[in-house]
Amino acid sequence: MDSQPSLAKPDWLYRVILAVLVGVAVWLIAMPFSPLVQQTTLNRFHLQTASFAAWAIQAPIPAMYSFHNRYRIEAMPWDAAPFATPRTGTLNHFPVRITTFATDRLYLKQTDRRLITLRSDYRGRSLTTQWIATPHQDRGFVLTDEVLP
Amino acid sequence: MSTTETIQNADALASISHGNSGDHQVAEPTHADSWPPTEPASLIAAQLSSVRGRQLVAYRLVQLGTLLALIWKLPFLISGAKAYLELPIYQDFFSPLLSSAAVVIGTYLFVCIAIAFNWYCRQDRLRSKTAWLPVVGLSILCVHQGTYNDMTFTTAWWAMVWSAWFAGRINESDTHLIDRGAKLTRTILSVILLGGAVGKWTAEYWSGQVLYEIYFVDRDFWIYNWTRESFSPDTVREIATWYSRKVIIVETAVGLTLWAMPSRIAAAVGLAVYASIAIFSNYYLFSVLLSLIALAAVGFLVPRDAPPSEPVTEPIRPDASPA
Repeated sequence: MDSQPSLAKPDWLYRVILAVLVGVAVWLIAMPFSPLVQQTTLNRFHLQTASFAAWAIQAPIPAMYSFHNRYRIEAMPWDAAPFATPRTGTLNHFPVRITTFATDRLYLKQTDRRLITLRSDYRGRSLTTQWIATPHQDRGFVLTDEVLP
Repeated sequence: MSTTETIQNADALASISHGNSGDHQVAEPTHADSWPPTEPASLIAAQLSSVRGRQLVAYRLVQLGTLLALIWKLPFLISGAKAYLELPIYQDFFSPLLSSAAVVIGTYLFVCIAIAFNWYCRQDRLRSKTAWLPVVGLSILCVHQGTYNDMTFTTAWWAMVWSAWFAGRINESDTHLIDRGAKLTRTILSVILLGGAVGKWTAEYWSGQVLYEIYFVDRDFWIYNWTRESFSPDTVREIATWYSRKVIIVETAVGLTLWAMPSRIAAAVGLAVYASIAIFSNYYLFSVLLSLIALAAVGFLVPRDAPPSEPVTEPIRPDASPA
């Protein structure tokens, strides 16, 4: 039943995967205590990470049903219909999905609803971003964003 | 082949396997490549009687679970694909390629085909290389504008990373592989549960407010419909609080301990927890969880009399690839 471990070479891939998992676990456990981890994750959720690469490298970190993420969709102030009611709700994670994910994005076709405000809260820290969807010259929408104080 | 003959052959093959232990030029049991099974129950039983057969069952189980996960909500994904084609969203954060409908649709199909191929593939060397293809495809889906937020692809990515590692080591002489593989699955499952738990360690989840707003207010699902029909609004709000606290406690407790549990207990706990998440929250979540359920089930394949763990080493592979 021996596999002759003394002659075998180290399984470096196994060690690398395990090291990544330990790194992810440490990162997660630090989240409640570390403002850096909290802010980094809030930025990740709102696509506000400084670079795409820095955002993408966080993709393996599981984040299902995390933070209190709320959205508000309303008409732009200058073309709002009188008494238009904003649409509001709560999202499980990655709140910008409300404008991009699958059939969610189709509400943008209702052209009186193009201002989207997103807010995520976690243990006293929050991030609010505002997104404006304007029709693209061909089809679809251009999405621009800013961080609100 | 009758069932009795199959079992007799399995015994003979098992004795060949054990008789050659330590010898890297092992005569491979032929039944390990009896794929696809024509008599599923008997042939799978025969497969489980050899080291390599058991490894192959574990590997194929994870491929099957992940493939099912990816196609679980196919009608929804098809609607999504139509939306991507109909209404492109341009934003600076994502490059044109990573917001392209063609890329997301093509990559999704590529991943599904690659996993199906890996499930069927009978050649060790080929499989050890093609097992990386789904990892590449899922890496794209995890950062694409249309799919990055869908945890289906994150959990599938971890399952396929495990598969790529495992596929490169399938080998009759490595009696410890299945045990190491199960340890790795337990660690993956722990970290994924922990990811969900940590994000809920906040007052809004502890009070139940978040899950109340997401699920209890108006979600059309049996448990929420039942609570709304059966209880007053105030009681439903109270139930949401305790439901949310149960989720936090279970995810935290299991996330912190699953990796350290014995294989079979961890497999049972993992199956129960992950299946219950979907059954009591939202059937769509099976798209996120089926790959994890398959990973958890690998623990059941660790033999009861598994040899003690050894240092993490890669066994010397025979020159010629069997199968």
